[in-house]
Amino acid sequence: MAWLPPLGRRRALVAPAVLLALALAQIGGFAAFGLSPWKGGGFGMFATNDHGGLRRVRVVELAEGGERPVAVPEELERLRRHAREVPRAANLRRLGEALRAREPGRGALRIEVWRTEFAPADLAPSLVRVASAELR
Amino acid sequence: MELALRVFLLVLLLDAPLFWFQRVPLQIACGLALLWPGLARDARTWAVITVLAAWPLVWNWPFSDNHDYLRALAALAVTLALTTAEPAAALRSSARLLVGGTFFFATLWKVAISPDWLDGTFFRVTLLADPRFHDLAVLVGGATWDTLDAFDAALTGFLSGTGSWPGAFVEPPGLAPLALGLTAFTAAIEAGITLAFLWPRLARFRNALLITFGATTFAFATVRGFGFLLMTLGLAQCEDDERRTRIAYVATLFLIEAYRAVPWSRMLIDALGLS
Repeated sequence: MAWLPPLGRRRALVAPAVLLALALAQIGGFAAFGLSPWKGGGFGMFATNDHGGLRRVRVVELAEGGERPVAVPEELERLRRHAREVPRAANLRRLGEALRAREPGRGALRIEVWRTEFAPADLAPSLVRVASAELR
Repeated sequence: MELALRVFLLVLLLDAPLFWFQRVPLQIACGLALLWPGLARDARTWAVITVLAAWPLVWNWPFSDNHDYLRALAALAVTLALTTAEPAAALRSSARLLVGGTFFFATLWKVAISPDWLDGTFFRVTLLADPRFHDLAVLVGGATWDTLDAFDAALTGFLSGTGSWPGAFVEPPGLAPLALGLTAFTAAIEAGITLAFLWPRLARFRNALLITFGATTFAFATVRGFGFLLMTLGLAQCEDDERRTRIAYVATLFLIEAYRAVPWSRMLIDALGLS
């Protein structure tokens, strides 16, 4: 392979190989659990409107009378942002558990992450669910 | 290679990680290496710099930007190059592959994975919603500040759940053609850089394409850390006899800083009476 460095300089391939591994893992994360395309080292920035600023984390309490929205307090902002960028079920539950630890009286919770999609015709936005998890 | 190492140290000093406890140790290490050139040529110094550039990726996970990863990878490439018998040649190989890999994945995301990029929707929304692109939307897209404010207020209300989307948002007529032009330009130059850096037969186009990318894209997308790193990697992969090209990379790096530091587009808007 003419474009590969000669044997004595194969160490030059290590950093590009790490880049390749990170970028493939990032694409895998996006496909598997909705990892934000803009994060994770996969170079998906400026490729889509699906980024943290246009994602929404919604928590609802599943009460007998119906669903009630639950506000996420400022102290849990880092957990909320983490769930928004990496909406794995474990991260969503961690946010729910932190909310319940603050307010033990809370019933079952559902934590959802939504992204914003814009209609090509008139740019009207709509929310599309990326992930959700329930905490009984 | 000497110039590339010094410029990289300068870039690490100027665009270090966000948190002080991550930034200061890295800046001290880079500052010492700049003051004592012997340190800048020592692989151990760069091993320390690599660790200082890489650990914030773990600490800040998942919030680091893509150029934070590229910063750590470039430092790793320098460290390993300095352990070989031909450090300059090894660094050239790494830098080319890092640039090629970066643009390969940037292009892959845009043209093959993203659902809203190829049809121009990404740029139409970004021109309206991202303040970094507002000057371009006004200068070339025919947008007014009132339109931008209205879109911002409606989107904020929609996302917070406090307001519904106004059914009749009128997109400025010049915005869609501008978005399509940006989409076509970005696809062409990013795919071109990928090919030029990964396919030796197109190697003669490498520098012109990467310098053009730096001189155009960062005029509005003021992600200076990413621009700095790309110009540094471009500089590092230059052949020994490409003196003018090296100067062009350094000049473009300063141009990227000037784009951020000088509110040139706002001054142009004022001069044209568009404000």
